[in-house]
Amino acid sequence: MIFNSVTFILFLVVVVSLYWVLPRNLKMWMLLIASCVFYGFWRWEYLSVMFVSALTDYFTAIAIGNTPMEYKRKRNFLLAITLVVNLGLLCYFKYLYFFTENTNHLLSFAGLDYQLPLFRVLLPFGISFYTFETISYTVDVYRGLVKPEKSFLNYGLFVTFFPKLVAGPIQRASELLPQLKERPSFQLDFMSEGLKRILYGLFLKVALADNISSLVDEGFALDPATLSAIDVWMLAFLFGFQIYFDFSAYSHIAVGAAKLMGITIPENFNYPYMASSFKDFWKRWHISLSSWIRDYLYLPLSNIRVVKTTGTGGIGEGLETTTKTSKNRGLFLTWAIMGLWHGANWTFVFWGLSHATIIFLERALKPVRDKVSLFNTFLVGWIITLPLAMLTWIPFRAKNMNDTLTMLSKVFIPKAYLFYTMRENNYLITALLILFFVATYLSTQYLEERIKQVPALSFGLNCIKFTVIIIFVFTFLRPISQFIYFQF
Amino acid sequence: MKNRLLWEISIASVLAYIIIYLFFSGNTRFEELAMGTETVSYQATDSSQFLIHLQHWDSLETTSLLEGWNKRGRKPVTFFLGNSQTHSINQKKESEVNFIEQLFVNNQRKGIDVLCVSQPNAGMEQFYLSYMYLKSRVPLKTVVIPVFMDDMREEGIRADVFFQRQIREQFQLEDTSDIAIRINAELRSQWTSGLVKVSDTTIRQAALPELPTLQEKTESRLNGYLDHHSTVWANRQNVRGDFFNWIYKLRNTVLGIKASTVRKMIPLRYAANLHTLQLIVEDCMRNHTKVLLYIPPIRSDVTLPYNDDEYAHFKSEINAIAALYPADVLYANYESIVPGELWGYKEATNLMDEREIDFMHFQYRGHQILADSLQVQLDILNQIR
Repeated sequence: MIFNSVTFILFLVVVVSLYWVLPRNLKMWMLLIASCVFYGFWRWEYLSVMFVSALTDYFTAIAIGNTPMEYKRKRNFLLAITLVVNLGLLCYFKYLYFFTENTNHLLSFAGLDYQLPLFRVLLPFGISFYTFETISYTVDVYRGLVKPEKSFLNYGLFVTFFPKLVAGPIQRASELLPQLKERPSFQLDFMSEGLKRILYGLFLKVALADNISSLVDEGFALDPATLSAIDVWMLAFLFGFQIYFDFSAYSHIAVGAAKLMGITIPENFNYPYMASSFKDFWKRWHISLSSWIRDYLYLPLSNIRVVKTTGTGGIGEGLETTTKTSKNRGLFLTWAIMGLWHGANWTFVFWGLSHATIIFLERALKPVRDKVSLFNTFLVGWIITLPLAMLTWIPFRAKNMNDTLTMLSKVFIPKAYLFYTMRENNYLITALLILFFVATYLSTQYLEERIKQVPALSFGLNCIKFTVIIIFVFTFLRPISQFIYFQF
Repeated sequence: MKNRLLWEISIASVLAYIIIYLFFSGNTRFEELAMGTETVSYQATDSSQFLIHLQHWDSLETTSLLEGWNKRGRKPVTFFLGNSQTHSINQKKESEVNFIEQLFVNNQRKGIDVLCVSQPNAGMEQFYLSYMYLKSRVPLKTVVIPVFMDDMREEGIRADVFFQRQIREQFQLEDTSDIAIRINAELRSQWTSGLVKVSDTTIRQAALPELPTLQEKTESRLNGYLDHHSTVWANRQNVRGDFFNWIYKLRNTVLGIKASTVRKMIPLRYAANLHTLQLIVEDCMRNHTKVLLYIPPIRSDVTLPYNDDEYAHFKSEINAIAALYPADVLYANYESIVPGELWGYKEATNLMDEREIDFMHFQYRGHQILADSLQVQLDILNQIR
């Protein structure tokens, strides 16, 4: 089900009402069924894929929990079952075409006449998210960080809980399961906070992301060879804002929908485009994924022992015991996988590796930055980070590597700054978006607290703000496009 | 106040409803904004009310156009492309028709059918797609292409005027030019509409099934119900039109843009449009279809909103394309044939003025003059064997 639709609003009203009305033991069943209905509105037959993943982890986690730590081989075998099933599902549905296509290229390159048949498989929505959640649950049980959940109802709900099912935030079992069991009593605060977040999300999606998308589509449909450097920058910024508004909108609605039921799910964004370094960027962008990647991929690949995991990144002790080489190897490997997680295309790998390279350079240049205090100021960091972060969106959105390289090369050609090819409105809108974003950040940081000290003013301004938001949401609410992260 | 936030949202909801209900009349179609209130859109029909002139390639209009052509005896077709100038009449009175309908009547007697597709601000890619689509359905004898300097700034095809969901046909261009490849990709992406185009691979993998999903069916029913039972809900599309209208005017006011402000050429877009025009002409030549290229009328008793050199260069380039095929392609310049008094004003496109000069749309008498001038050239073309 798509969040930006009348269907979802109606669905949410019914589910939340039932949630607070039903007796405690029925609530969980109702939520599990509602989550299946939510998913089934897209393609009900793909529920089976999700349940294969969930059941595998449910049973293997219990088996791992029942196996003492000293039976390492058995525990490893059980963990391997989980990894093979989940990664197997992911590979089949998401990467089969990509791998077959690339194998065929290699066969042709080697001069062999044989070509593997290409199978096009419909990608189940949210598969990258729920497989990560189920894997992390079993890994945590394996590491002894959480106890296996005995009740399949509780566990099934952890996997399928509809607000975060299709595009996260990626939830840890240790954070969601206790909340699902707790079942708090009704509070009006849940309603107001939930409604607020849903309104924010819908506004970002229907008023901003969807209206920017046509400009982005138009720009990326052009022949990249004809674009100027100004166009490339403009498209990078426009897409950067589109994907941010789109994805943060989803996260707002997810957080809000869960809040209506008194459940807290982790925040995914914190003004990422105000980051002063790439390291900082990834503490602010898709926080639940970056912390997941760190806890389950980067740290193990860097030979670092994980002693605690949380949705905001719990690392534990013994961090610096590893060598620089293994950290760097871990960095590049992690980012290549992170890129591939986003999509089965070399452009995504390129995107991941470009982030790895910049983070690597940030680390390598740290001694220089420490010597020159100017480089450590927020403003300088932001001025360097923002355009670079935006530019790295080009491979994320471009059709293929050819287009990516053509577009990126423009940025380094001085002559390409002497003309523009798109309508003037596009540049104007991009400039306004940057101003809007910075102004929102500054007002949140410096004005909001002061305004709150004058209750009447704060009340009046909030009424105006919500009036504007509701008008926009009401007017623009159309399920004309899915959320970008539904594809990953 | 207990739970202030809930109070704020509740009060805002009431205020929002009142504002939407009272202040958004929602009577603006954004695509017709350039026409202003003095100008009326007119779609030509034959005597049986079959469309001979469409603005959208959707099931309704396309079926009417093709059915009418069938019923009239499947005559060879003179096909007109156009923009809002083609389908609008300034200060229209009852019974007045546009030049397309006038030419249709004239040419029926000569055993030639006249069909037309005109879309606001249509660039050459839209012309190309319209031409290729109609060519696949009816025999084209002549293609008439007005080349608007304004529309040489356009690029791409507009999703809302081509093969939206009402039409199930999955049309693809057959040639292998870069432009055709791009247009095909655009059309393909519309078949899977509702998807965000992140990459070709993603589209391929995540393409929605042919049949509508449960979500689509439910959403369609719910929206239908709300449209039927709430005028405010049904009016949302027009409210969006009002909103974009206001944004457009605000931009013009802030930047001091008026109808008479010089519109600068965008070199690469201009070149791409010119290239596409050449593709259309070349394809016509391969199919033994005659072509008439013309510079459309513009209000010329006042300073034009173009750079003089750019405009002169533009006209000479269109002429040069025609000159490549002297036997089959004619060039005509009608920029000054409609006298100043046959043009009108339009609602100002900024927030300060009430009205401004309309450079694009003229009155019925102007349509008559244009029809007569075009008929002369069409007769010449028809005489060439």
